[in-house]
Amino acid sequence: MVDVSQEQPKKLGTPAGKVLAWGLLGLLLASFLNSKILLEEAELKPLGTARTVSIALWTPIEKLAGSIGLTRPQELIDGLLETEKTDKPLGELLVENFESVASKESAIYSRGLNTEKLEPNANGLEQIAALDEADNLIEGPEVSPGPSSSNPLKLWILGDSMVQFFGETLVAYAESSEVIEAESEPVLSSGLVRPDFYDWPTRVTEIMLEEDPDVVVMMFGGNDGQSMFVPPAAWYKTFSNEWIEEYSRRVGEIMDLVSKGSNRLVMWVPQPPMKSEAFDDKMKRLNLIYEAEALKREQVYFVKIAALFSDENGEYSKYLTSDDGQTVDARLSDGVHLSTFGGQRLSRYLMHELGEIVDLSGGLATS
Amino acid sequence: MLFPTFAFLIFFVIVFVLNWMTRQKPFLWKIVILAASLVFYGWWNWRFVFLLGTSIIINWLSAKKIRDESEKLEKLLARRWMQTAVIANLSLLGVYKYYDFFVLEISNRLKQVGFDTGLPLLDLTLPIGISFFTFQAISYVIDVGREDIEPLPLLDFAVYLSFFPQLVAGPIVRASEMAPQMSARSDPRYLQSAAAYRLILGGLFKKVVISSYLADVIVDDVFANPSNYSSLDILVGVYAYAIQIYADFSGYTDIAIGVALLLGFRFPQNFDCPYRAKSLQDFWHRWHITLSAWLRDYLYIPLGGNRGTSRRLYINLMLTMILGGLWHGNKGTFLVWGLIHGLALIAERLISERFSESQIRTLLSPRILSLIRWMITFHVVCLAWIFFRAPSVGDGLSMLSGLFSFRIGVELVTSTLLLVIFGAIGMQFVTKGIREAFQAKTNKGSAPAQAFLFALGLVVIDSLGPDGVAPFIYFQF
Repeated sequence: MVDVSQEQPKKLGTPAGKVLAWGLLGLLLASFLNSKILLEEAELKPLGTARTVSIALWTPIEKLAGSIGLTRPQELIDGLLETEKTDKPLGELLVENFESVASKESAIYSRGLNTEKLEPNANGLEQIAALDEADNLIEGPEVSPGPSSSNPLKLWILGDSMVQFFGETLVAYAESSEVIEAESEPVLSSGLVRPDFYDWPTRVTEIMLEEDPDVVVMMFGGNDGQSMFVPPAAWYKTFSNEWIEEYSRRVGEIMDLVSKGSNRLVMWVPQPPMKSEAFDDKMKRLNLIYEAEALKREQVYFVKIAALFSDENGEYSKYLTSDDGQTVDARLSDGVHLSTFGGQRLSRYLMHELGEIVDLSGGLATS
Repeated sequence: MLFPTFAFLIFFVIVFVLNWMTRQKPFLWKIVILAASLVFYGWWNWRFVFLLGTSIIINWLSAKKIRDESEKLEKLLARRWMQTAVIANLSLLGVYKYYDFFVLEISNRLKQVGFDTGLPLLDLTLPIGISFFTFQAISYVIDVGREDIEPLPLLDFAVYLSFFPQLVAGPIVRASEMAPQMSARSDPRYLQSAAAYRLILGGLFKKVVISSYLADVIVDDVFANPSNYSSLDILVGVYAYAIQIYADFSGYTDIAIGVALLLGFRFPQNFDCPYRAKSLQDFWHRWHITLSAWLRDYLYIPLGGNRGTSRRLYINLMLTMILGGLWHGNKGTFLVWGLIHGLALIAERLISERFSESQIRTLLSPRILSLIRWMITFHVVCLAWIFFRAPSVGDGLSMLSGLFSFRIGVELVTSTLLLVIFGAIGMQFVTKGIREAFQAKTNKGSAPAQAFLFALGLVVIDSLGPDGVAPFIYFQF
């Protein structure tokens, strides 16, 4: 710690102009040395002007720095720290995944949901809005022989920062049943729109291959209300028809990666009501897409949670009434994420829903 | 606008140039700095600029009124104005930070006996840094009331209260420290750039590398679900949090002090190797120094301080620590944090009253005594940190229960983690002489050498740190 308040002012120092000139040169040097990371960071920015400008700025700098060897120190440090990312071809992994899963005899916890199927739809929104009203396509879940402490159910919880606020609570509740082994893996700022930021399909594939869970709880969307880049060069504006089609495809893909060719269950958790009206509107539209895709798949259970986090008018409410009649805050001050109570409420509900599908009494019976 | 971002870099380069171009023209300089500070603050949420503006105007008018009445020898009236201003500031803080909490508590208690208060809950978004600038405003009106300082002209006061380097997370700078520097017109020929670079780089390293690393590899996991981890994991997780919060908060302060130094301002020190403290009293002379000095001058001493009976002293200590805890937020966990510190400070007093230093020294050698004192102090501080970090008191108790469950196993503890934690603690024991020698050596570096080392430091920090920057922990207060 430098105590500048105690240092006597001396007539020593550097003129401000010199500090500025050399400081800027230093920053320029740092930009060149660091250009690879800065370009990567620019590419990870949310789509929009800031990203476009950043990429336009850092691309020539990175090229120039690379051509004169100024990116070498960075690469050397990366090498020492082993932070270089390994790029796995997704297609290869997907094929491996399906083959691997199909060949396995995983524990069966089938639940017989969604016998009705929907035809693929360009945007699905109107159709699902109608379904919401009817809400009669979901059959009651079938309870199958459940896991035991010697043959526990493997539960994974995946998603964006929303998962951070209930994932570990759900893990704790699940493991207290003594028949579930649970793991939570939230990735902040991630989603399905920006695989360049975080590649969920690849990660999900890895988890399915390496861990082979029985049930996967998924929650995405908080960061997905943004324009989408679709290789090789297409940009889709948020909630345009093309965007909805592509996003629906990605949602379907991630659901299939978990469930296709296996008996795994996906519990898809939609976004709860949000404080900001504009954000809430976006999330409601995304929820319709999730529900549409879930309805197309037998092993995907769309868990309706809006009522858990709404007031008597069905609107967002930070404060809710607990089981014992107390008023409790269910959301953080950002009006988005769940509070401890909110996380507990959601986790309890998910456990209840899981218990409706899978017989979780094995732990009690054996204990 | 966060310090470790490209946006802030661009902003600061512009402000730096304008600052030194206008420094010799006080009026213009104040306009420039005020505008820059409002842009900096409005970057988060422009609506809160109006809140800051309201605070500036109310406190400036109050201070003026206090001085007017004082000059008319209307001491009682001046005192009333001062009290009104303090209440207004606390009310502002209260509405944003504590209203919902108290309404919830009262409503829930009364609901249990069948009475519905019908009081509305506001669910207001907390303006960033409100606790810091409100405390600065309170110190200003009290200092004017005590006639310790002269009231500042409106523009000067606005610059003081909104000065961007310390606006959102301190240090809590007094008007008596800032005002002379505003009128001194720093000489642009003698900038302490080496010290500034050192502080900024050190702060960035603490925040971007140390704090992020510890949060990522152990703290967040252990505090989220202690029942999943062994006692050793939990213990190391608590140590890690002690280092994380120090690295995060002192990192921010270091950057703030460095940034201010580049603009020609010297801020007070806010941390002085707190984990080398050998008593709680010592700890509070080293941790968040500007807050503890504020609590001492504007709360503890007015309450009576250590004057009066021992009982009164203990009550004053406990009240100060509890209110210090609640300053951080309206959660029960902060109350428990304050209680632990209050109780420990009282226990220290009781022990020192009962046993003299020479009595204790007859039992133990000075080195062993020193070590025991350090260990007790560090672990009491860590115990309090458990509740500071835990989402609820119940979660804090779960951490303690996990800690003393003596569950065997190691899942998160690695040799690198231990090296970081104990290395960080070890750094606190580097003597002042060594630190000063290092500072003197780096101060001698030429401008190009400083800039080169600064650039190199930035590259290393960026390589070691994670993608993106998490907000500083103290922003939420």
